[in-house]
Amino acid sequence: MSQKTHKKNASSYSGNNLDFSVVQVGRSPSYTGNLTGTPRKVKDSCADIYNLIQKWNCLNCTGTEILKKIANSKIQFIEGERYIDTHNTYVTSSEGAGDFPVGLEDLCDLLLQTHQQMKETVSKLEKITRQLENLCRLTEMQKSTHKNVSEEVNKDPEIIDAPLFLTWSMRSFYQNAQDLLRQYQKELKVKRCVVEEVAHLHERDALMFFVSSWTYQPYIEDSSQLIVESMVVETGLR
Amino acid sequence: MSNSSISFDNYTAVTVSTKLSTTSTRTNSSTICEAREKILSQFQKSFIEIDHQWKLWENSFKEAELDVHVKILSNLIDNAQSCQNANLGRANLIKHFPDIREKLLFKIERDIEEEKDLLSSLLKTLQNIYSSVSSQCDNSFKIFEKYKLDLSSVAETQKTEVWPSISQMLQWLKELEKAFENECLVREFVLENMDLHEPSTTENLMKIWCDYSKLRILVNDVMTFVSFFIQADLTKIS
Repeated sequence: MSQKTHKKNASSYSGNNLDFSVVQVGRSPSYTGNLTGTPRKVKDSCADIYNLIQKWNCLNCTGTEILKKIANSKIQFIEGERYIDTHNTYVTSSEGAGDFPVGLEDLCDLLLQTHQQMKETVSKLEKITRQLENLCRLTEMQKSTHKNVSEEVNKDPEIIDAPLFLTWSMRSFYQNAQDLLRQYQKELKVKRCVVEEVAHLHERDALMFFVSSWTYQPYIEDSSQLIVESMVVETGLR
Repeated sequence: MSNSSISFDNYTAVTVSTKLSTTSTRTNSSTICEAREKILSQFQKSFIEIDHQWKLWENSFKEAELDVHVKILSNLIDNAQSCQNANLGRANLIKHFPDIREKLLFKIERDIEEEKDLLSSLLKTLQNIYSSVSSQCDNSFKIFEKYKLDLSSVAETQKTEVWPSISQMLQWLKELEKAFENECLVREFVLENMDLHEPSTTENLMKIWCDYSKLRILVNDVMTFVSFFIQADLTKIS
């Protein structure tokens, strides 16, 4: 959207005017042939983010299946122990149980590998977010040092935040990517705790809690799905 | 002559009185037949409609894949109960993420609500089916009330080898209405009073929502008894 069109639309709306003015959304650069420069980098970054999130979701499903097997084998083992102990007329403390079911170590190794792949995914996401941050700073710097732009316009946030494609500014892309990164970094730490501790649990409820913590991803908010979808729609990938 | 005239007069009187009583009998019979025909006609419509509604009932269960959704809901409730009851005092997961339990329960309870909504929509369908059955029973009872005085007790209780009596059919209609109502009410009660803290919730859910064998037995029995009746052409009965 050009600055003139943007200003015209801004002035056609007044707070006392109850009539709505039609927002003119400019033609996306993605439809004007091969992209270059900042829009190209941003579009590629959004595509990468989308692919990384899909990969994370696959790894999450894989991890869920492995965890279910770990939980089932542990529960069977615990119940088997309790059965034997009950029939011997004493009950061992679950804290003192030191043996592990057969095959648990292999499953834990698989889980650790899955977590490692998720960690690589998050580091790629960090890299992309840093790129977007740098692009955002560059864009703001370019606009502020433009020779023909007056001082008043320099301070106008609407100019700095002008849409890059449809409606999002460069800053919006960076902030949303940062938001995503924050959620997935925290979730990765949760998964790390699950991987470290799940083999050492001795109660059914605790095992179920850990499996649910992995599956439901409590620190990935619902907004993350919307952010990713918005990114691909904004850049014309969908 | 007087004797002959008297005897003639007596003959005439007897003949006239016989004719009069025959006309009266014929009038009574036609009234009974008409009443019986109206009642049977309505009963036939009712049983045909109830048969149709029963097929809708069975289809609703199949299309909703009820057993799958009830199992999912049971698993979710089990997860929620485990998460609530899990003793994780020393776990690093709780130390580093003290609000994880609330976030996890929020997500699980949201999924539970989604599954409950699916069951609620199925329940609405079942309630609509019950309403249709109930309205048919009401219509049949109204027609019976309207014409019952014209019916003799013989007509009311008369049955053949292939047709049940009016009184029997009335009783079956009432039983069917009650059975459909009970099935809806018990499901509604379980859905509305689902307690995530109660361990027997999942057991009740599976047992009550998926099982309608008593209704099936009743409907099949009644439809078997009235099968010749509902296929009969009532216009041909005298």
